[in-house]
Amino acid sequence: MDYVLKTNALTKTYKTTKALDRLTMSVEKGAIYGFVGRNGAGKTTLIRLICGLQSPTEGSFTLYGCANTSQEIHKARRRMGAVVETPSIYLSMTAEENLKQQYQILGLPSYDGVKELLALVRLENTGKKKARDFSLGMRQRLGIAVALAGDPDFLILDEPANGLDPQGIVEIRELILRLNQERQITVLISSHILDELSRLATHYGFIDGGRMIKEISAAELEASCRKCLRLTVSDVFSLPAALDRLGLEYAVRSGTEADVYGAPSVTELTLALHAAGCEVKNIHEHDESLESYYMNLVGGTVDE
Amino acid sequence: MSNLLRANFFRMRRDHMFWTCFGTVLACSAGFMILWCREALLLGFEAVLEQCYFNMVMSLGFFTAMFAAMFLNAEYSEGTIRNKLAVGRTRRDIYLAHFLTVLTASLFFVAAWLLGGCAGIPMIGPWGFGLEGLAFHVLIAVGSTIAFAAIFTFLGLLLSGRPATVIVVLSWFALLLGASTIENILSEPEFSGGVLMTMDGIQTINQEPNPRYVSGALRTFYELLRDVIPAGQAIQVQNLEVFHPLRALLCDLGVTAAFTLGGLALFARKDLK
Repeated sequence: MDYVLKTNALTKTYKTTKALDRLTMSVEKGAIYGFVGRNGAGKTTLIRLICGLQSPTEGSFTLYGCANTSQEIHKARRRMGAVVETPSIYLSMTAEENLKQQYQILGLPSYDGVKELLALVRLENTGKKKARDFSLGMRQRLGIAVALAGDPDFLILDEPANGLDPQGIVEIRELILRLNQERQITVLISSHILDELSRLATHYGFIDGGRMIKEISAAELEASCRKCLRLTVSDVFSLPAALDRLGLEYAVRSGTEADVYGAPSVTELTLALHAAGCEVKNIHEHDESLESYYMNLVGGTVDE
Repeated sequence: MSNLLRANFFRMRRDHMFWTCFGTVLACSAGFMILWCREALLLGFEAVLEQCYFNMVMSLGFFTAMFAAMFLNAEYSEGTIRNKLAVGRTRRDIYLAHFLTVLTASLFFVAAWLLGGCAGIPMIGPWGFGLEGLAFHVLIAVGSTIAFAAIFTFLGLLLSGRPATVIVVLSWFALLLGASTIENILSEPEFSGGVLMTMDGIQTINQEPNPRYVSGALRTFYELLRDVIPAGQAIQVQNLEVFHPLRALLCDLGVTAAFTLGGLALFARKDLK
C-alpha cells in the first residue's frame, strides 16, 4: 500500500494545552481522506504541522516517505498544495495575478496553465475584479486554484465548506471529486460538516481531544453502520410480542416508533403486526448516519 | 530564493503603498527643494544645494517602515505566507527574500529623494561640495537605510497581526526620538557664558563649565550610540556633519547582520498560523 502521509505519535503542545496527543494516521495514495472532529479537536493543528507552519513537540510524520526532520521534506512539500483555514490570497490582486504570483513562488517557467486553472475553478470571467470583492465561495475556489498551481499530487483542504452557501458547497464538492477522479489527486479534507464529508470521503479519520479515535474506510464504515426499518405504528405495546415471535431484534423509540434490525420481509412483518392488532402507519429504511457513528465514537448524542 | 524574490517584486510592482511612498518622497524632495531655492533667490543669500538637499534623509526611514509594515503584514493578515511554506520554500529563503524586497523598496525611496532634490540644480546650481562630497553623504544615507530595512524586516516578520504594523512604524519614531535625544546631549557646549548682549552693548562674561555637558567614557558611548542607531546617522547626514564615517558604515553592517541573523534564528522557530 502506498501512503502519501503517515504520522507517528505526533504531539503538539501549546504552553499547557495539548492540541495533538500522540496522533497516528495514514493517508493512502488516491484517497479522499475525511478528517473528522469537533472544533478544537486538533484538525487544523495537524494540517499546520504537515504544511511546515509549526513544528511538532514530539513524534514525527513522513510525506511521500520523507521524514519531517529531513531536508528532503521541502522537496516532498513541492508535491503538495494546501488551503489552511481561510483561503491564502492577496486581496489587492485579481484572480489571475494571484495565480501568477504563486507560479513565480513555484518558479514555473511560464504562465501556461493559469487560464485552465481559472476555468477549472470557474473564475475565468472575473477579469480585473480584485479578490477583496469576491464572494466567500469565489475566494475559497481561488484558494484551491492557488493550491493547485504546482500541479500537486496531494491536496490538503481545511474546512473548505466553512461559511459557504449551499451552491458554494456543491461547487466545492464537485471540484474536489473532479480533482480526485480526473487528476488522481489525493485529498485530505478536514471538516465537521459530516453530511457533506460523507458524500466525498473514501476514508475517514476521527479525531477527538488531539487523539485519533478511529481510522476507517468508507466501505468499512458502511458495513459497520447498522441498517434498520423504522416503523410508525398505532400502538407499540402489542409490537414486542409479534416481533419476538418472528425472532427479530428491535428497539422501541417512542410510543409510536420502533426500529427493527436485520433484513425482515416487509410483508411478513406487516402481517404479523396486523395479526397482533398493531396498525402500521409508516415504514421506511433507515441508515445509521456518519454523524451518529461519529457521536457514538466520541460519546455524544444526536438530535433528530 | 530567486523565485521568492521575483514573486515579491511582482507584488511590489502592484503594491499601492510602495508607489504612494515613492511618489511622496519624490514630490516632497522636489517640492521642498524648489520652495527653498525660491526663498534663497528671493532673499538673495548665497545658497548651495546641499544645505537643503539632505533634509529628506531622516524621513526615508519612515517610508521604509510604512512599506515594510504593510507589505510584510499582508503575508500574515491574508495568510499568503502559508502558500510559500506549504510548497516547500524554506523559512530562511522566505526571510531573506523579504529583507531584500524591503531593502530594494527603500533604495527606490533613496533614488526618489536623490532625483527629486535635483529640481534645485537649474535654480541654484549643483552641490557645492562636489560629487565626491555628495557620494560620501549618500553612502552614509544608504548605509543607514539598509540598517533600517533590516530592523523593520525583523519586526515585521516576527510580529504578526494588526498591532505589528503600528509597532513597526512606531519603532521608527522611537529610533528617531532616541537619536535626537543623543544629538541634543552631544550638542551641549562644554562651557556656558562667553558674550552677552545687553542694553549697554556686548559684554563679555566669564565662561563656566556647562553641567549638562557629557564628557569622558559616557561621551564616547553616546557618540557610538549615535552611529549605531540608523536615525542618528540620518541626523548627521542632514546636518552635513558625519563625525566617524567609517565607524558609521561598520555600525550599519553590524546592525544589519545582527538583526538579519537574529531574525533568521527566531523566524525559524516561530509558530505560524
